[in-house]
Amino acid sequence: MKNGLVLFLGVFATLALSWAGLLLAAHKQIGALPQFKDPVEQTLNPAPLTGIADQGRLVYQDLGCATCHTQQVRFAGFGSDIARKWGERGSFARDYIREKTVLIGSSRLGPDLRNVATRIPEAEFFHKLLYAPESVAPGTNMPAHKFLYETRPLAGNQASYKAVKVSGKHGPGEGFEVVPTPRAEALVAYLMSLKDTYNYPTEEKLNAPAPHAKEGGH
Amino acid sequence: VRGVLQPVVDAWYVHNLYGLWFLPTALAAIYYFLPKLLGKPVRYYYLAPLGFWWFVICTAVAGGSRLIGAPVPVWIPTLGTVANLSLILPVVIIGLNILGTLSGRFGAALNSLTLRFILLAAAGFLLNSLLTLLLSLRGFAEIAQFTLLGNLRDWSALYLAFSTAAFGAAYFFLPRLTGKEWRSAALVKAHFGATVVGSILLLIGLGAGGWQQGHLLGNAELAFGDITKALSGWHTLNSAGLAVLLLGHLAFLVNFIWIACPLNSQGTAGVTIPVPPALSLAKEGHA
Repeated sequence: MKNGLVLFLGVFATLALSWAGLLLAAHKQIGALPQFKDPVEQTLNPAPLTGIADQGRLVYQDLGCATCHTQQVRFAGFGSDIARKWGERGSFARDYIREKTVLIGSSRLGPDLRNVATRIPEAEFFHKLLYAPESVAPGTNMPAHKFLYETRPLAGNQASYKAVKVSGKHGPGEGFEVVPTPRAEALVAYLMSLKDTYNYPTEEKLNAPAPHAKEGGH
Repeated sequence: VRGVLQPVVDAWYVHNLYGLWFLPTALAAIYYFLPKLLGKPVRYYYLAPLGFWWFVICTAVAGGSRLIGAPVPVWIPTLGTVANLSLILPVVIIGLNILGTLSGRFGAALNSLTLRFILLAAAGFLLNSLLTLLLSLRGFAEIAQFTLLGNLRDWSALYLAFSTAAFGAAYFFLPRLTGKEWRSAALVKAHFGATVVGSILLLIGLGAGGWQQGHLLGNAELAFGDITKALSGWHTLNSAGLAVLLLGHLAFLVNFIWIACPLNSQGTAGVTIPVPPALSLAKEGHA
């Protein structure tokens, strides 16, 4: 190749420049965001994930939930996220420092899940949704995750206190019960942890619309 | 790397993978085959290096445009928007070079199987550039973000530009490398036809479906279940498009196994491979 070296060095320099300019600069700005200590309540926000919820995050990642679900609420005035009650406010960078892998997603074939636990604060709902989506959300095209649950015969015993209360055509049938596996319990614990309710006073002004420039002002 | 820096790295990497690997590879095939098979130099040859470097430099910083509205510092998507806007010029240069080289020889291009695939690749490149630009504009992204249009953007780079260019190259090189002819002309035709039909189905399904999805999502009065129902027709159309593409790939596979199988020495003798027309570069003053 005639200009092989020039080509290689040029492309390398371009990539190095964009790596430094985009990623290093972003890292310097937000790479070390700490938790915020509430001056009155003395709480640290965002609170770290509980152990089981953190395991659930891995299940969420495993199952590819992020293919169809986003976890980012756009600010008021940009899209209908707030109007759809997907959150009380747009998401801040600081909301995500509690998660080891951040899965903000890029497709909304399903609804946004960033604040799903504030909308639906019942673990039972998520178990039903995962086992038989149509039982709680008729018309949904979410795939059923029956493999996260164990169907076992009651054999005259009392049903487990963990048994998912699905019945009728979505249920396992007479004389059987559906019990969540540890993966299902972890995933639901993670979903139940998805709520960004704390409003950071430091970030609040970032949420406000930009002040209108004066007409003809310079 | 913690927090939302991960999506930033992801956007940078993914955008560069598409914009600096798949698209330029497709472009390389376009720039190679168009002059070679048409026997005509690239129309605005002196602009090509400018177009290339401008394209590479701006694409490398355009990744942030995938994060409009995301919880990242606003300068990241804004830089992406600026870079994508300045990409208009190199894309125009590349488009002029493709169309300029084609002009007057369009009939000849359609007669060559390789060039038919290359034309699809060129269409894919231009479509992808347009979609990337549109999706990095805030007003458009507000509607089209997170919809099937995002899938269309990535699909048009990966399949419509890169894969069709690779298929075109395969149809050119494999007979020359093996000294054999394609076994079945019908399968070759079936592959190209399936590529065109499948691509059109996906263009309609992902494009119109994504546009409708964006408008439905923007209407907060509408329950999410209704959006899912409204989209199911588009999903069927997209699956049909992918199935048609799969049929084309199977046709290619059969032909490929035939030509690549070392046990098959049939047809080695007496094959006439058309020699591409000679390039007349001298009057352009470059070689």
